[in-house]
Amino acid sequence: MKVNFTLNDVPRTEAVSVNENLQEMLQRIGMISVRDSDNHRGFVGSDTILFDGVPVNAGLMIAAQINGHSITTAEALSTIERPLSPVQSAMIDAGVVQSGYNAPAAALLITELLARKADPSKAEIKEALSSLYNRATGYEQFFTAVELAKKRIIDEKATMKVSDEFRDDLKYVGKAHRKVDGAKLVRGDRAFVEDMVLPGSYILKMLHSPHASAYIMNIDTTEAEALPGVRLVLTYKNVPDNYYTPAGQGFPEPSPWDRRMFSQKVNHVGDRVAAVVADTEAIALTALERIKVEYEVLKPVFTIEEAEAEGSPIVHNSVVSYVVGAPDDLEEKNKNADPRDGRIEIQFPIGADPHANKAASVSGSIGDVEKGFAEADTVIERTYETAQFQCTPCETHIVYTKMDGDRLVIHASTQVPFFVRRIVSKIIGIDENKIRVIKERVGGGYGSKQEVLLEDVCAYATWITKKPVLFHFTREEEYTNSVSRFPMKITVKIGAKKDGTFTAMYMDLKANNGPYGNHCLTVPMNGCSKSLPLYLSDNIAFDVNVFYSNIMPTGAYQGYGAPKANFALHMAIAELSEKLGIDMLEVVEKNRVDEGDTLEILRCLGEGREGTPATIKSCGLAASVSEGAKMIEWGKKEESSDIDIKIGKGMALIQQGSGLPGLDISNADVKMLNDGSVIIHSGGADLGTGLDTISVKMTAEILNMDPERITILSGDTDQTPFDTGAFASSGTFFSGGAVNNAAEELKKKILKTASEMIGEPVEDLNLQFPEKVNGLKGSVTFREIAQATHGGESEGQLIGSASFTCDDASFPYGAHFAQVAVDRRTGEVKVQKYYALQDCGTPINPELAEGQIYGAVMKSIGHTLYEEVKLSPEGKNLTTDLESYGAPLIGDIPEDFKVKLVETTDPYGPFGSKSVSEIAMNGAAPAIANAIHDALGIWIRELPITPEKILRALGKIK
Amino acid sequence: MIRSYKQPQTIEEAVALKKEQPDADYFAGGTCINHADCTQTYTHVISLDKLGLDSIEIVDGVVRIGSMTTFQNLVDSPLIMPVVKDAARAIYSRNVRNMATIGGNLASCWTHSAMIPALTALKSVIELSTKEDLPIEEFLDSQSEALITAVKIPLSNRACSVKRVRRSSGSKTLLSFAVSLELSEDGMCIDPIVIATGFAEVPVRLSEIETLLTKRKEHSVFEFDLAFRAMKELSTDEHSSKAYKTYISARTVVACAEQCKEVLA
Repeated sequence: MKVNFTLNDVPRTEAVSVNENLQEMLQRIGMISVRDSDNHRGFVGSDTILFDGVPVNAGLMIAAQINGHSITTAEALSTIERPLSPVQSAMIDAGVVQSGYNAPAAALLITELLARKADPSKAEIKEALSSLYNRATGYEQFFTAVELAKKRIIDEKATMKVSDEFRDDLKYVGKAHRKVDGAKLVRGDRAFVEDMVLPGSYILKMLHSPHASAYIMNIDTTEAEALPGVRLVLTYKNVPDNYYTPAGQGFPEPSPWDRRMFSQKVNHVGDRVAAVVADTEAIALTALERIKVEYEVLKPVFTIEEAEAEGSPIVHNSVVSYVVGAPDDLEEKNKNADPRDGRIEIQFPIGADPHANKAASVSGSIGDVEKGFAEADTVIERTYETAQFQCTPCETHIVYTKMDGDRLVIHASTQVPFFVRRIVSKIIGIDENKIRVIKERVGGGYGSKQEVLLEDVCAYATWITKKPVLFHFTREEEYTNSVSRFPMKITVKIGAKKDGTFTAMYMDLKANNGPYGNHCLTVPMNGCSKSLPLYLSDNIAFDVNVFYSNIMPTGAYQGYGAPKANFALHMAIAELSEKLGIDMLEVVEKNRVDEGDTLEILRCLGEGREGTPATIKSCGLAASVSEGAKMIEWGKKEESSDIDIKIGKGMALIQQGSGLPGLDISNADVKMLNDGSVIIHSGGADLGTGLDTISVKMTAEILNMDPERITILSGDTDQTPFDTGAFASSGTFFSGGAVNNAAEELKKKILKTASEMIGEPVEDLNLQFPEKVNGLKGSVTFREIAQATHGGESEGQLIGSASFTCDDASFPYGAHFAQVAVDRRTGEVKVQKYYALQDCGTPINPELAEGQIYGAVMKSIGHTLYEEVKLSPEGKNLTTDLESYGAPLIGDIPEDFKVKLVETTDPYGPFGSKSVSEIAMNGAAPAIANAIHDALGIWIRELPITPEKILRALGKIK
Repeated sequence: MIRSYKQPQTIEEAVALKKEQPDADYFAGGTCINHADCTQTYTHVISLDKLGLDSIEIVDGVVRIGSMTTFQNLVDSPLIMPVVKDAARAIYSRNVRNMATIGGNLASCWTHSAMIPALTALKSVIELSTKEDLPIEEFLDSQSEALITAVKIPLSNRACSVKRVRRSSGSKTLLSFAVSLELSEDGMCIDPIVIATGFAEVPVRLSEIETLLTKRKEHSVFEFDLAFRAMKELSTDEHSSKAYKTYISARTVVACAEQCKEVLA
């Protein structure tokens, strides 16, 4: 049928099929800002359009509905040719445009709001944004964005303070500055993998296992292959017999290689059974229905207890081999392996025993914990449990692969482009020089895109067919096949003297690893390494045991293992404080670390290798604790006018790392162009967090030039040098560090060339803003230098190249404080106040740093109170959409929510910076749980803290 | 899969199209029909968007709401009573409220609707294109395929309260209740109506609970606990236990009743 409508003020007629979804139709005709995040469920809001001026979800409409109506998309707000609208520029400047997948939708919603209400209240802003799910930065900075947009509607040059500023001695670093990719993202320009797909590309769809554990006894793909339009069907029978780990970690990985592209055994509901590559999605889906599979269904294991019980089913009854360090009894254990379980290849000892369902284990200690507990006046031992949580990026996992001559090109939404290249190369069996990975803009990763979950099979499909192929997870697949937080059971034992001084600390951490061992050693171990070192004790020990099971896959998630262990540790400290009769803050202050302390426990906590003790060179804990306590009025009891509502306060310290010292490496080139402007080639992977902006600002600072004259190209394995990727809080420290070093190299070359040009020694030269080298007698501009070095008589283009490695650890620190109101009648918890005080050294992008903290805290509030993956008794995920799962929206933000950056200067990080984002995940659970105890006197030791659990703890239900 | 989409200009034309093609379905905002979770198959649809059924007016002691009135229009209208606005806000997303219509909700979204319990508790009447007015419960029981042209809510001395139980602002509703009642001169509850969702696939009327409310001034939560505990419809599922559902149902219903009494007082 034909529909007549007005699109962005222009009358238009379009032929549509009656059933065509409107979001898909708008994308088809070029309105790519109208994105789909939830398969047309109307939760995320990325598909927002204005329908006759009113915001609606295009994904909940069919194209036929627009006949006779007016449609406005974000494309109408501005174009590449036209300047940003006041709302768009305000959003970028306020820091809310980070991963940016639904930034165009947010811009439309705010534009409509301000057209309807010139001066909206906070409640009206919340209502206008009730249609938007924003995992990256949460929601708090939208209030600033609206405030700034209001001003800019009146005066387009209006400004306002959007964040604190740091480092008076610097021009750009430490100041808010427009994110370099902000305009592109907020306008909805081509930026994401889905925007790169060429017409006529094949579509890959996956057949998933209906069973949690089963052997594929027979698989018949004949009928599927016979379907016109089907180009390839892949099963375990016709793929390379190579094993790998999807974990994007440095080689050799501390994760076992226990995955094959397809296996004869399926290990969770949703596991890969077969893939169909076809001309269209509809054909691919029809073909999937025609694949006949016979299974031998096995008894699954779902819990830690089931997995570790003697005689329990073995998740991977595989032939295990080691590259180095095989245990003596390996041959004996392999005797009973079932060939249908395939192989597991382990790079070096990680304490694994797959035949006993153990994926990894590690123990360590300093001092003598038994002696320490014996010396204590009080000992407390408690067990805490955490559930399985999903990263839920707005952009679900996606990859697009194509051939360029005899080379494979992978357009990826990834945190680890260079590891994608390495892993795909290994799986498919082609050299790395034949593969190019281009990291497009990433619509949210949060750890889940540190995994190679789609690239292997999609790349292989292209390699076989020589045609472009798209593989894009549905939201349901995101829940069943992406990675999630490891459920854990953590026992903490602390001994203390009467005055609260710790005499010994012990953590026994058991993790439910799920079906595959990606990150199986490092996530749980990180729980210990990012919590125990917050406190000083001569006697510390830990045991980590990680078990395979048939739950949904687990893996990396922002915070890694720290949020769970930090919850357990701070709950135990709170319980100990109560037992001692001392205020928790006093106990925390008595035992916490400070600048100059050496963390001996880190000797036992290397990432799959021997660790080294580290001395804290910068620490903002003292200021974070004192300011936070003042802000929340720690110690002051708050009362509600409703006698059934009880108010309480809680807190927790937090720490993380800044990349992996001794393991991570970043490289960068900074090049001067013919007119004196500069281009950076950075291997770093900007996930939307502002890493590219950091690189540009540092370079501008070092070269004394306007950031507008600096461009960055990053995360392209052909065009940029190697970088281990964006994980473990490495972005600013490592990738930024490499750019910093490369810019310094370029500066040296600029000065050397200028010295030759004006005939003065380098020592007498200095850089003057903008782009000028001054000597005592003469001067020369960058343009003149560039032109002189681009000619045939020169030594060549000025290029600064450098790497960044570091053996020293830089720890970001912080303290989070929460005030909650709990209704004793219903068990409902309202977070009234949340204050996050964090030390990230010098905040390079303060407004973006704050946004990441707001976003991380909202995620962890979600994990604490609302979110949870629920499985059926058969292992089927029952929460495969954001609504069922309980993802928080703007209606769930704390009533008073503040982020405060506490400045320190780190000696190792570029411009004194440390990491900022991951650490912010670690505070909400313990702070809120302790606040609930303060309110009601009950300890809830299991996440999430639901009203039902509170009512049970209160004895109101049994 | 939708194969034909008709866009009539008048009610008569819409009805005629339905008569011509009895297996066709009327199509309102589309939020249910187009939703990924929709399990019903729609082949031929008749759009109602050009019929002008989106007015709200007060006529002869009733609030007459055109069936194509969106939930957001209900929230924004000064003619709409607060409890209906509350029910509309049960859809947290303003975008979806801008699309979902009161008629469409009545016709297709039974399971999750907070609006149907509220309208039922308010003794609403459904106006059909046949010029027939059906009490809402009769309409729901009838599975009528007639075109809904309006919903009529009587203005009365009846107070109504709606409450829902869910974890976060946008998460699925676990349970929801609408309670309406009148008060006698001596403060007794008269003619209570209690409708709940989360007990079955469709909203259900809880007559046992209504009995507990009837002709009393005060209500003991304990009695409601016992009554809900006896209900087989409440069972443990992956999200919560029967014990929790029983406990929270009793308190929510009593809280609704107390709110009604406060309004009437």
